[in-house]
Amino acid sequence: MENENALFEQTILPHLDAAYNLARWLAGNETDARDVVQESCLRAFKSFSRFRGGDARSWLLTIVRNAAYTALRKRGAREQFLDSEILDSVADTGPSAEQILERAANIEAVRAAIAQLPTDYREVIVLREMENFSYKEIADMVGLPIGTVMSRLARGRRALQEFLVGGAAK
Amino acid sequence: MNCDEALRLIDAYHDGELDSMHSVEIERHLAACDNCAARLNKLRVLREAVEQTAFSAPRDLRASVLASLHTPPVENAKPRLGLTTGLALAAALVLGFFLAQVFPGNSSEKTLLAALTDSHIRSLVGTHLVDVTSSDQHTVRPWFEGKIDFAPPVEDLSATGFPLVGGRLEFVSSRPVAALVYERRKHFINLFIWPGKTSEPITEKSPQRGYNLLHWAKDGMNYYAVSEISADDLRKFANAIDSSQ
Repeated sequence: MENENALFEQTILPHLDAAYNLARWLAGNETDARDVVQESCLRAFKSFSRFRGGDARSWLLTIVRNAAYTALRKRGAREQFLDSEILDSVADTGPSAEQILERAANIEAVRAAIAQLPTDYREVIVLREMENFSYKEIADMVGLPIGTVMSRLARGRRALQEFLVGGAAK
Repeated sequence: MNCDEALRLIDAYHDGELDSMHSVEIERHLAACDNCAARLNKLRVLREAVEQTAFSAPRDLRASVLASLHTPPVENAKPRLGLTTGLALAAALVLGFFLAQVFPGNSSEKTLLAALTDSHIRSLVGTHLVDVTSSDQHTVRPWFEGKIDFAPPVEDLSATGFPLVGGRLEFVSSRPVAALVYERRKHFINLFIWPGKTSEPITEKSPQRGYNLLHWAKDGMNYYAVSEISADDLRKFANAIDSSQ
C-alpha cells in the first residue's frame, strides 16, 4: 500500500500543474478548478491499479476533463457556440501578426480572449497550445476523430485572433 | 499547391502533423506566397501569446491533494459503523497506546515522522492551522495551560525572520503534543513539542513527501520541526529556537 502511494505520487503528482491548468480553463475559476483537481486526483488514486503505464499526463487530464464537464453540468453552464461566420471562413482576413503581438503583451487580455471561446474549442486550444499534445493524443482524450480535432483547432485559432484584437477596439 | 489548399493544411503544418510529402509542397508554396507565409507567422505569434497564459497549480494544492488521498471520505465509512468497527477502533487505541509506550524506538520513528508530516499537511489545508492565533508568546504559552500536562517553551522569532503565528493542540501517536506554528516568507513551519529526552543535538530526518524534518531535544523536551522550506532555512529556524531558550 505504501509503495502504491509512493508510486502514485511519483507518477501522477508531477502533472498537477497541467491538471490544474486544464481544470482552470474548463471550470472558469480558481475555486471550481481546485475542486475538480482534488476530485480528479482522488479518482485517479482509486483507479490507479488500472493505469497500465503509458502517458500519465494524458491519463490524468482525461479524468480532469470528465470531472470538469460534470462540474459544469451541475452548475448548469450554458453551451456556447461560435459565430457561423468564423466557422465557415477559411480565408484569412483577420488581424495582422503585429496586431496580435501587440495584444499578446497583456496576459489578461489574452486570457479574456481565450475565455470567450466555447468550451469545446477552448479545450483543444489548451491541450495543443499550452500542453503540447499531438492531434492523436487530443483525439483520444476528448473522444473525437482526428479530423474534428483539427477543424476545431483551426477555427478556434481564427476565433481567438478575432477576439484578441477585436477586444482592443471596444 | 494553391492558397486554398495551403490554408487548409497550414495549421497541421504549424503543428508538425503534416506528412513529408505535403510539407514539401506547402513549404514550396510558402516561399512564393506572402499571404500564406503571413498566416503561418500569425499562428506562431498566437501560440506564443497563448502559451504564456497557462495557469500553475496554487502552491498549497499539492498538499491538499495529498491530504485528501490519505483521509478517505467519511461517507464510505459511515454505513459500516457497527460492532466490528467499534472493536477495530478499540484495538487501534490499544495498539496506539502500546506504541506510545515503546516510543521512541527506531521501528516506530518512521510512523512518527509520517504522522507528524500528516499533521503538518492537515494544518495547511484545512481551516485548522492554529487554535490560538497570536504572535505574542505570552498569549500562546498560557493557552496550553490546563490542556496539556507540560508547559511547552514558546518563543517569538520575528527578529530572526520566523514570526510566531500561533499554536494548537495535536494528538500524535496517542499523546497530546503542542504544535507551534511559525511563518517563513509565506511558508509555515510546524514545531511539535512534547516531554522526552533531556538533550539531543539537532539532526536532519529523511524528508517525508517533500517536507523537511528536524529533530532535537533540550531540557527534557522533544522537538520536531516540519516544513516545506529548505533544509538550510529549517536548520536556521532550529538554531534560532535552540539559542533563544
